[in-house]
Amino acid sequence: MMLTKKTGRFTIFRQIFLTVSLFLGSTLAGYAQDAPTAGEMLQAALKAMQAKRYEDAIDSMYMYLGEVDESKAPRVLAISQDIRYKLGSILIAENRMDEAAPILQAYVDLPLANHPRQAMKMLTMCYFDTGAYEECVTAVTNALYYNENPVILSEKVTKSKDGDDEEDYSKVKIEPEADYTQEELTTLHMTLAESYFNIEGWAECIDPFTYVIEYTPNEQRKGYSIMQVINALIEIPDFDRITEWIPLLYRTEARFDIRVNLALMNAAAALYEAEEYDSALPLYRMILPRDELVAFQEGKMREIRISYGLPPEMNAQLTADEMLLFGVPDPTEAVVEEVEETPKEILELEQLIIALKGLPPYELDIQYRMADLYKTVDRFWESVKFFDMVFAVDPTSEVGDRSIYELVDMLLENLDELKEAEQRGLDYMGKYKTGMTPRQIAYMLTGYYQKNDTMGAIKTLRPYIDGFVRTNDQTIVKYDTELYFMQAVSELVLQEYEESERDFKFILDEFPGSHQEANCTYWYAMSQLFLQKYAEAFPNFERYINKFPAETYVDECYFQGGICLFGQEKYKEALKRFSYVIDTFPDSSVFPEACSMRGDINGSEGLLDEAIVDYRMAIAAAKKPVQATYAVFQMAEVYEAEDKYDEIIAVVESYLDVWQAEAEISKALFWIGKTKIQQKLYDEAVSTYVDTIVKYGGDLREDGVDLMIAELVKISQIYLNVELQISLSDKLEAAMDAADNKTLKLRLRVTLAQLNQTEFELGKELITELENLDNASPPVLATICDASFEMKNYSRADEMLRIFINKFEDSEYMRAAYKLRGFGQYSDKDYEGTLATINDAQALYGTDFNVAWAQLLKAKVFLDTDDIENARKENMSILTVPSWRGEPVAQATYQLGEVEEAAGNLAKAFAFYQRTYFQYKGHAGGYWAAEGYLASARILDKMERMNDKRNTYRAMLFDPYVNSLPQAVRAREVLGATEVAEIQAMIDAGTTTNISITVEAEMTGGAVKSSETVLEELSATPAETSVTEEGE
Amino acid sequence: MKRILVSLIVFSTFAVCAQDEVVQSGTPALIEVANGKKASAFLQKLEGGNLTFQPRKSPNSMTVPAEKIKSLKFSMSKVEFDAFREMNVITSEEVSEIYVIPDLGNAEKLELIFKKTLNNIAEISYQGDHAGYVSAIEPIMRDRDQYMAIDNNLDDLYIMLMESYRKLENFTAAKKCAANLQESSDEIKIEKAKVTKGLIAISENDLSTADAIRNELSSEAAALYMQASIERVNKNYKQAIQTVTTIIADHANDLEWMPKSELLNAYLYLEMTGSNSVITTNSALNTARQVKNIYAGSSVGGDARIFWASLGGEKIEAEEIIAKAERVAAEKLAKEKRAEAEKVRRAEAKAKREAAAAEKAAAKATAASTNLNTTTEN
Repeated sequence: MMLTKKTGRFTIFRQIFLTVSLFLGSTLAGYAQDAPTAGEMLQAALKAMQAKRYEDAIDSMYMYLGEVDESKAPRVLAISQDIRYKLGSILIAENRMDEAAPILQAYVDLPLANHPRQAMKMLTMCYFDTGAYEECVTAVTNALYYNENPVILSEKVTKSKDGDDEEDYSKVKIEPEADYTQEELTTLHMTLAESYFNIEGWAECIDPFTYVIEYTPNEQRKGYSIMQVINALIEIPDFDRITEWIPLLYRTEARFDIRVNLALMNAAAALYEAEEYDSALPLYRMILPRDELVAFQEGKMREIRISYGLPPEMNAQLTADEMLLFGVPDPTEAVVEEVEETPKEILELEQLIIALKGLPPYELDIQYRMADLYKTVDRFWESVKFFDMVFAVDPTSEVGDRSIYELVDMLLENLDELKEAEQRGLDYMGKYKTGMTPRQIAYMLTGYYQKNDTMGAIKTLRPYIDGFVRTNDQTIVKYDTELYFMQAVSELVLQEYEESERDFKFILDEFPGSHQEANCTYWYAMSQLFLQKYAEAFPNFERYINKFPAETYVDECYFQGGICLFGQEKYKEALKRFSYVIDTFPDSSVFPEACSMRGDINGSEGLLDEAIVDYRMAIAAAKKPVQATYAVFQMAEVYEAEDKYDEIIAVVESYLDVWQAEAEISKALFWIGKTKIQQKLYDEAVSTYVDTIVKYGGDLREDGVDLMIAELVKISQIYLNVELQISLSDKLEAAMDAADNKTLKLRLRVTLAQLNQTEFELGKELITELENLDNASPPVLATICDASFEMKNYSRADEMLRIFINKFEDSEYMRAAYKLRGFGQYSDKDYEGTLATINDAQALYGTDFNVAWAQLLKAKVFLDTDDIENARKENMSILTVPSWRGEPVAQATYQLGEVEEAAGNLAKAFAFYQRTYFQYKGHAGGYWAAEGYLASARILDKMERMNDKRNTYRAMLFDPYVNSLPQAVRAREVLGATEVAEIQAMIDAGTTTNISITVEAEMTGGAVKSSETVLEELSATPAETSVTEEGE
Repeated sequence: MKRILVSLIVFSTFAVCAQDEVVQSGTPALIEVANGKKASAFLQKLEGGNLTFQPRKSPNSMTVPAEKIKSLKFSMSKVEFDAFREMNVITSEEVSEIYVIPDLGNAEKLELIFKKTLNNIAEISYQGDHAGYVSAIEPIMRDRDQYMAIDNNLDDLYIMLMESYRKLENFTAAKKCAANLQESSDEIKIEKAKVTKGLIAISENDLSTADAIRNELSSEAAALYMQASIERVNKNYKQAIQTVTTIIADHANDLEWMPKSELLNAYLYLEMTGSNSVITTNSALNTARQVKNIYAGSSVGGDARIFWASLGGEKIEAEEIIAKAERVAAEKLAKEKRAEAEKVRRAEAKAKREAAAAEKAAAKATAASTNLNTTTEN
């Protein structure tokens, strides 16, 4: 490195100074005759210096230098240099660095400098202290270069020995100035490094810092230098090299230096930002807690104070032990000294400790960053630990808030520790009810439950959400809206429609104009739709359409509005609405459904061709298999009605081609089989069904298999001869033996039981055999339900109905579960529950023959609850339903007797009972007729018409439909053995009874009247009874 | 080679000098006694707490209580030097580099060569090559291991040897090392010996012994480490990892137990992937990588590197480097393109401005001309 000549602001300063000095000098010379000579100035300067009058010395020196500036005399030059060196030294001592710099620079630049090394060193100090880092770099570089390559031309100039006036100077060689000591070299390198660092010479500062690290005996300085190297490497950036330095830093005392700790924080943060996590982590770990730093520095302060002979603590005195230990002779003197002049080292350290104590606690931030860092690199358990620590220390701080959030998030998302997450989250929400974080946690838990399909758990959050303190903060309001919205959605998914209806309404009322208003309106209406509140739902769909015409669900609202109209039996309006959807939203997801619905309406009105067109449109537009499936099989139904079996085959095969594995294959094959039956290809149909059952029967979701089982049983019973029936059973048994799949096995067992008519026995077996019903398909469940019903075992009724609702909502077999559940509730006298179940069943199945039980049971509930009017009405309504003719009507007639009996209308009651045994003895194996006899006798007994009563019993025993039934025992008991024997003899002799008990009312008598007529008659006049007896 | 030759001469000179004076036997070492005085000697045995040695140049042996000895400083014999040269533990170049250092006496040069040799051997362990380390260090320890109860310049290497034996499942040898260290008065050495014995007990499924040792440990971090190791062998991974995280949280600056603990966590994360599907190999991979990087230049760092590599770390890192390079190249290209586009844009803007100015000037000229014409007309 070459020596460079320094020019800069200090040079300018020097020039100004000299110019001013010269000007002053010449001016003063003009006015003051006694102006001092240069020699006098020199003398004055030296004297002032000796007397430690530095200000005077400085003035004199400046004046002297100004005076001799023009001189070329070697002696003057030499003296000037000496004065410059002295002046520079005094200025530094006086902390006038900016003045010292140009003086020393001149000294270094001019010849005849006796102390170039020291001057250069001082110069570096001046530049550094005044922030002239670039100049400082040059100065240090020059100093170091000079130290290695000194110019040995320094000569001492002395006055000649003869002392003549004539100046005669000779030059004497002097000893060269000593090299820098190691300590000086280290200091120079430190100055150089720091200067480079300050002018962002990141790469350049590393070498001098490295030199300091290698040579300094001061651990503090060493550590600081390492830290600066790390900072420079961050700035370069050269992260790979940072890792090498960290262990070195760790081993130095600088770890306890607050500057190093602050720098560590910055460095760690920079590394973190640069995603250099492996380098950032040890730095974070190295950062010491503030209290630890303070304790260390205070300990150090004590040591330093003692080393200066001061008491360890400020304003304290050395103890006798300390004096003995550290040898301080006079503690009083030490205290005096402290007051007068505290060493710089102590002052600096004091300032450091004050600054340290003034720092806000940073430990939590560090721990938070570490936790975050661990999370970033997937070290989740470490992260949990650190977040936990932060939260435990200060749960209400910002980092505490973030920590609990991160904790719950990680436990849920990264560690799948649901219980722990719930425990922490719920605990937090229970304690802290304000602000964002509890909401965020509730939101997170809700999201987790949604994602994992545990909607029930969402509702457990409700009390916490209700407990949050409301605010007008828009973000928080948005969270609250969202949380309540998700509550309502969970209820919707759980099919708790009444709750979801209530809660969507709650959001609409509590958070008007919220970001979820449109969605809430839609789902509110949908909840009502699910509750079959068609009339209430419709205006809400309309509101959505009007208020949010550009929102997502507009097409859906039009469609669902159509469903509401359909539900209200406003078919024409519904048809119009579906047509509007079809015309307006051809790309909508509800387009296929709209087509199917219109097809259904057209079909129900006999417009089969139009219906077919609609179904075809639905199939063509279907985006999901279910959309095509519905239309295809509805079409099949239409074709079946028209005996168009080839068309059925065509549409079903096309469906299978299009949807492949997504199609409901078993259902399709069911229709193909059905077609074959119509074509009288029984063997093929059976074969198709058996193969399909075996192939797809292992999958619970294949409800086509279940349809096939019913169909197969029907084919077997109607079309197959005994030989073929046996063959079919054998095939099914073989398949059952070969099957491993539990679902398939159970399906085959049920099929066989139905073929062999042993369902009840199988049902009884399965009740005890199946602890869980996971593998039970609908026919299996129905078999169990039927057997349970027969056995009046309602213990699993609720469970089975729930399975149906959750897994097989569309299954035809669900009726059995409703029946079991309804009667179970009735048996428990849970009349409200019974009526709810009945309503559900009737909503699904209407007036299907095998759901007549629901209406009958409803009437019984009203009777049991003394609601005579409704009991009468509900029983009467049975008589009006054509599909319920037969046994249901028989039972209803009997039940009407019960109603009237309960109402005290004995004659009417008698009339219904009598009608039961007159008209319906052929139904239910004569059960209701037998009951009618007994009830009639009971009424006659109440009417004290003992003879009529006896005749009724006699008639019962004469009646071949009932006289062998268990109820006939009662008649035999009443009549006694003799009369029973007599009756039996008469029967054996071929006598038939003509006993008739007449109750004087229009509806009595032998003529069979229609139910409608009976209803009219009953509603007209109360009957008066007169009883006659005829005997033969 | 010339320098090597010279260095060999240095050795032989020492040997010849020694032979010339008195017959001496034993392991050469520099003894530092409790009062700070030092003496060269040949160690002969350490028995019953007493060290017997023959001072250099003295025909007689001496026996002193070992507790009076502050430390021992072993040096390398010529036979050992030759062996290490032959095994290439230290290269000719390395010897040459030391030999040319100015102002160093022969003894100091020999000391540096020994130090370099030991560093090179330690480096084998730092690479996770425990078998290689054992075979390199065993010859040095063969005659010296009986003195390991006294503080010496081979302490760290001896502890590493003990751990390497354990990792190689040579439990007999590891236990012997541990027994030697337990004779020491140095609490840290004793603690390490105990932990090694505890870990061996775990490997031998003797958990009650391991637990008893855990209770004896004075260092909380060490005790927690043992506890986590026991929990690990019981397949209670979650509990084990939580125990380790306590070490990480509460003893972050314990350089003795932190590296081991962090590496243990890496193993635990991997083991958890079998029992908890949510934890992925990434956790183990990243933990191992951090241990490898943070504790580079240590035996644990070496083990971490091997574990990391076994999880595919090297491949992933290589891919990341390539990806990074590609990203940087893409960014550079994009920057260049942007600069080029900016240049074009500026040129176009300039051209546009100039055209507009020209147009304006033309319009002005036209207007002037029109005015002139008008004036003329007027």
